[in-house]
Amino acid sequence: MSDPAPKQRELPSPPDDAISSIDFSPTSSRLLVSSWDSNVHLYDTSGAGSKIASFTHPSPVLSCCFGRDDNEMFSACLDWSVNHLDPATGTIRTLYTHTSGVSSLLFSTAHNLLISGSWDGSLSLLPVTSSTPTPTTLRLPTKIHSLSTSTHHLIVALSNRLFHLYDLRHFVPGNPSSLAPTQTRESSLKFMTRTIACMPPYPNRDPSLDGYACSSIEGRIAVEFYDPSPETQARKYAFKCHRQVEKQPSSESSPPVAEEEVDVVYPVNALTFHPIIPSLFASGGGDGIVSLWDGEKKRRIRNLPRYRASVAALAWSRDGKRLVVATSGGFEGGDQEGECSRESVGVWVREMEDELKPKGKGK
Amino acid sequence: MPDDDTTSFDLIEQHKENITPISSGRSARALASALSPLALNPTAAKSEHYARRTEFEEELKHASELDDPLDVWLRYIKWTNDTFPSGNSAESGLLNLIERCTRQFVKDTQYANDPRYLKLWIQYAQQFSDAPREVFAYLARNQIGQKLALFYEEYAAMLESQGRRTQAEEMYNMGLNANARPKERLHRKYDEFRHRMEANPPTGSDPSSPALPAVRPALATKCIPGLDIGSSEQAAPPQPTPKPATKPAKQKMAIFSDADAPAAPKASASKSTGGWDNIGSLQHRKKENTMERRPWAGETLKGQKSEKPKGEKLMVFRDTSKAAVNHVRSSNQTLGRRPERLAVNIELLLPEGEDEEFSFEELRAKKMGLYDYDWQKHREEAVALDEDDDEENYEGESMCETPPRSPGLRSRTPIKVKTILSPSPNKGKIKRKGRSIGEPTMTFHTKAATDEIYGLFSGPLANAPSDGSDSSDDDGPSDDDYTTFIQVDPQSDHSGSDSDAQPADDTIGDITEDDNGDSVHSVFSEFAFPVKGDENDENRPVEAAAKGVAKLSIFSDDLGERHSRPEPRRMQIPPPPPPVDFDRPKQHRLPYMTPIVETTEHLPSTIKRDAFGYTPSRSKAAPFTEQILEESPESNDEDYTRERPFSPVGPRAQLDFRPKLQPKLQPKPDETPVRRPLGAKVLAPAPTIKSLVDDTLCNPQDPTLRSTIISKLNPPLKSYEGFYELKWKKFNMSSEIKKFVKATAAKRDGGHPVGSSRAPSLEFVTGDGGSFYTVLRELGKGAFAPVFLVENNMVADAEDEAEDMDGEIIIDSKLAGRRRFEALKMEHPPSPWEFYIIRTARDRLKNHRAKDSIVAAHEMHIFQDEGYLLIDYFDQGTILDIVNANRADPANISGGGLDESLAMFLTIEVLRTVEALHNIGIIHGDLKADNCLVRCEPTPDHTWNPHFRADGSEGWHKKGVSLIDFGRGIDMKLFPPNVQFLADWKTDHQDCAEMRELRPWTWQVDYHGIAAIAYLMLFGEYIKTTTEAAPGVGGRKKYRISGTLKRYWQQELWKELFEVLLNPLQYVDAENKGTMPINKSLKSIRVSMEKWLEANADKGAGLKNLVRKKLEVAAKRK
Repeated sequence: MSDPAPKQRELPSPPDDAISSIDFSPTSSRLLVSSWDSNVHLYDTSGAGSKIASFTHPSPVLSCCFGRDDNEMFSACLDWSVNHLDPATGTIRTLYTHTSGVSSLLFSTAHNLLISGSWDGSLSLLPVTSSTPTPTTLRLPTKIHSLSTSTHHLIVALSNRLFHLYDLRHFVPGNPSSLAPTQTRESSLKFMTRTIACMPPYPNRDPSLDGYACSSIEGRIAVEFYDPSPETQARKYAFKCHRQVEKQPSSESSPPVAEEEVDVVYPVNALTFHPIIPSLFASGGGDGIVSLWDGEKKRRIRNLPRYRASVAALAWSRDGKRLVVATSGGFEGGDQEGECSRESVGVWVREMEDELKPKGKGK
Repeated sequence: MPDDDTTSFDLIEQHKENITPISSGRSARALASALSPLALNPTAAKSEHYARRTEFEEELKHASELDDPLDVWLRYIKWTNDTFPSGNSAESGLLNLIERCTRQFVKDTQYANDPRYLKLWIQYAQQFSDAPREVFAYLARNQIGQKLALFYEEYAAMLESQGRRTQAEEMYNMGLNANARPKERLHRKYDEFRHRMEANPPTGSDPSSPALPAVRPALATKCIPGLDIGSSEQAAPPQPTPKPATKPAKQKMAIFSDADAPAAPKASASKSTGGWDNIGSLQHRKKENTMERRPWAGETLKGQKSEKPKGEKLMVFRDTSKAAVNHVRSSNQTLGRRPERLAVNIELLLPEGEDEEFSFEELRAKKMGLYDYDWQKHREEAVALDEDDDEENYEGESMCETPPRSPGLRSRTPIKVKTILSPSPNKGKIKRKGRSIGEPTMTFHTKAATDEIYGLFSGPLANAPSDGSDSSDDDGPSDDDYTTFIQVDPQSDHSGSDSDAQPADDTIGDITEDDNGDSVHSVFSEFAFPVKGDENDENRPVEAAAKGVAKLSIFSDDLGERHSRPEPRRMQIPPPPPPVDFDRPKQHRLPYMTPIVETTEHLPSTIKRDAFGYTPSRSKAAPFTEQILEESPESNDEDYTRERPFSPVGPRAQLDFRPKLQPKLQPKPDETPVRRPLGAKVLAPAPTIKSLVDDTLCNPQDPTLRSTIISKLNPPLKSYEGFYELKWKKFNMSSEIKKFVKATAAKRDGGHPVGSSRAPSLEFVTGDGGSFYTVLRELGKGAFAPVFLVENNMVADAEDEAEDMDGEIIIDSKLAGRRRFEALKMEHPPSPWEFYIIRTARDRLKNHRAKDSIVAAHEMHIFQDEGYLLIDYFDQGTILDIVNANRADPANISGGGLDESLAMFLTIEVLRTVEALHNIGIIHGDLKADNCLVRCEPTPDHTWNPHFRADGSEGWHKKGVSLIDFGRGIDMKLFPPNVQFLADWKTDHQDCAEMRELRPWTWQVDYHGIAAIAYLMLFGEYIKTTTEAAPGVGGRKKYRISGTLKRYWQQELWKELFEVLLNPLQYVDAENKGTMPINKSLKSIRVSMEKWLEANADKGAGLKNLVRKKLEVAAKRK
């Protein structure tokens, strides 16, 4: 029943402070982890896992990503800067800056674009092939919290539950007005948007079912579709998740009832679609649980054994056989003071091959 | 109706909360009759109830023979309701009754569509069940009430209240299709429902699953024999007999399951129910929470806890008439659902009164105080501060593979230190709007910058220094040049320590040439302090000159000074430091003992380095030159607070003083006028010091006051060399260190070593190579902070390397002035106060001889939770140790204290030092014998004249004390000139009179301290004073020491000393200002003592011998 090889390994030398984001290399088994300890850490997840390097920034790093290959890495910092990291020399070079913290960063492989979003509402796109690091910047109405992309789609999650959907094929570098949102939507979730994830381009999928998943701070995930037609829109759905039952003293002062059970609702901090298996996605919540979902059947496949702290980020390996889970404590995990202890910070690499199919029997 | 027939409501009124509403209404009469006896005579009532109950039970036994057995039940239930208006309770047993009744007739077709029976079920579902929907589903499966409109109405109403309107609609339809009766009523209700629906259209989020879900075989309820029929005689539902359960294949948790023992499954009569044979009583359903009955053998009895039946909550009484109409009774919470609460702090995320929402990341940034921070300005300032510095500034950028400078570090790459000024004691507060603290800037430590400067001279730099103003463009491409905290220059090699070695080499080369400082001497004398008599000698012109040697000397003026000493050249290393307990240090060739003068004091230079003329004239140079020099510590009769305008000199001279700037004096032209001139006698042309604090009466130890001061400092602390602050990082090593210390102490005392006996290493990661220490043992516990002996691993490694190289010792300039063993003071909460005082004191002392007598603060690391101060370590003990050792010595002839000449020698030393401190405006605040470390460098005999030399020549400058523990230090220049202090701490005889008498004080605290030290040395006891009224002096009382001076002592000298020290206010007239500090008086006493000592020191035992014997022998450590 139990396999000899360890199912899950924790990477050595985790960051000292909360983890903001992780990214898997497009070409190898390397992993980038950005952290509030002002570093971007580069790991090799193969074998037992090892740390290759750390890049120290002047301020906490909010996001990181690989570029076209292992030689290109980028980071986005609290100090407004978007930087290029060179693993060969260990240098950090600031490409450009926003006027507020850069909350999200990603790389569009289809378009070779480095895209960054900031709390000042600016969305910057930079073709990495350009000679000067001058991005094209769009002004969006509110703060940008999260970005996700898939081939041609770009979704920007803004504050106040706003989404902007873009088609990157429209983008002309140097011309901000070339990229207008194809759609703007309000999130179907009632609470603050936490994160979004675009569906990867699954082959043979009904194109109208192309879409994304988004989550809120209130333990809920919504799966929605790009196609604005009413039939497709009717198929969107949302469900509750990442809730834990807890006993807490009954708020009524009357003595007879000592305790009641409450559902503690955690934010869903991470969402990521499986690169290969269609409609399979994983969610990571402040409760330390990673859940696997079948988006088509609308049911949960399984929960992974609970991690010791809130799940901050998730990433699948390219072949979808492994899942990286990053945890760290803080507000997201329900700590009212936002404390993040060193012990809470960890990065795990988990073999997922056996766990992607639903359980054989019923509960 | 006649009045007497109707029951007066008054009877019921009192108890109305306790009356459970029944939809069909209650008989008032019955209520009245029920309630009054209850109030009157509980015991009688109880027995009556019991009697009646037994009657009913009897009836039930025979009920099966009746035509309408249900009737018995109903009467029984009705009686229960009437008798116990409060509904279900232990007494009434209502729930149990209803359960029994309902279960009884499940299979009975006679009642399948009996409305009375259905009503019971519905009552059960609504009032008692934890899953009403399940009840309805169960009823449906068992064909109960399917022909009754009531069923559908009730169920639909319930669904509707749950928001499941689609399902509700479904139910209505089902009922109509089934021709449930009364049909009209059902139709009517359906219409009403439809109206409600139209008024409030459903959103798409209704669950659309079927109202009566298909039964899943997997969830088939197990047949529980023994629960069903035939158990009516028992009052309580029986425990389920064990049954096989479908266990999950892998049972990871102790999921409750019925026990394994097989039992014959009851033949299920109605297969159509597909498993819904029974729904189980409430207790059965919750059986997980009760323990099975088991034989007592082997069982452990746990403490009893009264178990509250679940599902019974206190129903808050509602006195509404609509309650009856409202089908949906909110008995518990939302009908069986648990309440929810958010794990996250929603008030932080969505602050009230603001439209804005904040993400977790924003909250975290706010918590760090970095959310609203102007990073652009930060970058600009950083660049301006260090604009020539294009080079790689910190180790962190390099990959792990290339180890950072010091080889001993772990592979975990150092984290870049961002020294942001953090004055506030309240860490972790979310947001600081409008930062009141000084603008934090990046710390580009002088070392790296000066390396740059060396580079300028040694060769063209790869990167030309760029102007800071380039980087103002947010999105612009200027960031390529914007090199402040990134490494751009590929040419300059920054991996490892090579880069530093390079310029350092040049430096050292230069210095060795120029070791003889004569040529430079004259340069200095232009603006040396007023050369007066012996003062000049004390001035160390040679060393000062050496500083002026080269442009490069700044950085390594430590080395310069070291070399400039008459005897030791860099190559000749004096004997190694005294042995340490656990390890005998090797013969080091590095000059450890010589640099008594702390040379690593690279003072804060607000003025950009280039002000010295390296780069083409900058406007900043101008104001800078005006006020470089502060007061001279040596000028006797001059006003020490007066600034001396610095006569402009060439670049070289400026260079020399660069490290010794008085940054605080630097007035920024755009300064907000918070400050006021300090003294009235400030010379007009020179810029004046403005006091940072406006209070004229305060507690100087107040932490808030200190933080305010620190935050207002200009230049800010973070620009001080060796100051590192990581406001948000928790270092968290204090417990480990304490554990280790405990363990080693235990070991030493012969006890069992407990805990870890591995010496904790402290790695401080900074932007310029970091530092690395190993804690060896505890040296002492201050009032607030323990002090540890640590090994400075960087120095240790350098030494080891140097040994191997066996040749020219290239001292990493960064390590200049550092020693292998140093003292680490650990505080939490952390405070840079002592660091500031020590640095400021040493700063202002410049070349004064007294500087030798102030311990040096090399580094200060501030974290969120702890602070670490690195100071010099002297292992010769304190004056207190000396006195104690002396007392213990049986050969001691001079009574309790030290020999008079020794005591006088040390007194002179202390006097001189404190005088100097007072002259520059620093109060030590905690002078006592255990804060005076013995400082006696080993001196070759021939260089040390047995004749005492007051000026320190001929070896005498090497002997003295080092003052430590400036935690209570006060910088008087921060305050208005007429400030007074108040002590709010407990005082004793060791404190000055004013403190004891709760009067305000300033300098007296130190005078008393000196008196205490002198007293201790003379008498071997702690000071005691008395007062005596001296009518001749206008009635002011005087303080005297309690002890009697020995006859053969120099009574006049000591008398005068104590007189002045204990009554300073009576000697202010002699001073220039007419106020304290009474430096003149002190000086005159000191001079008299010096004269005496010079004349008499070599008599008798001889001072030199005394010093050697008593002081230089390392005091025994505990």
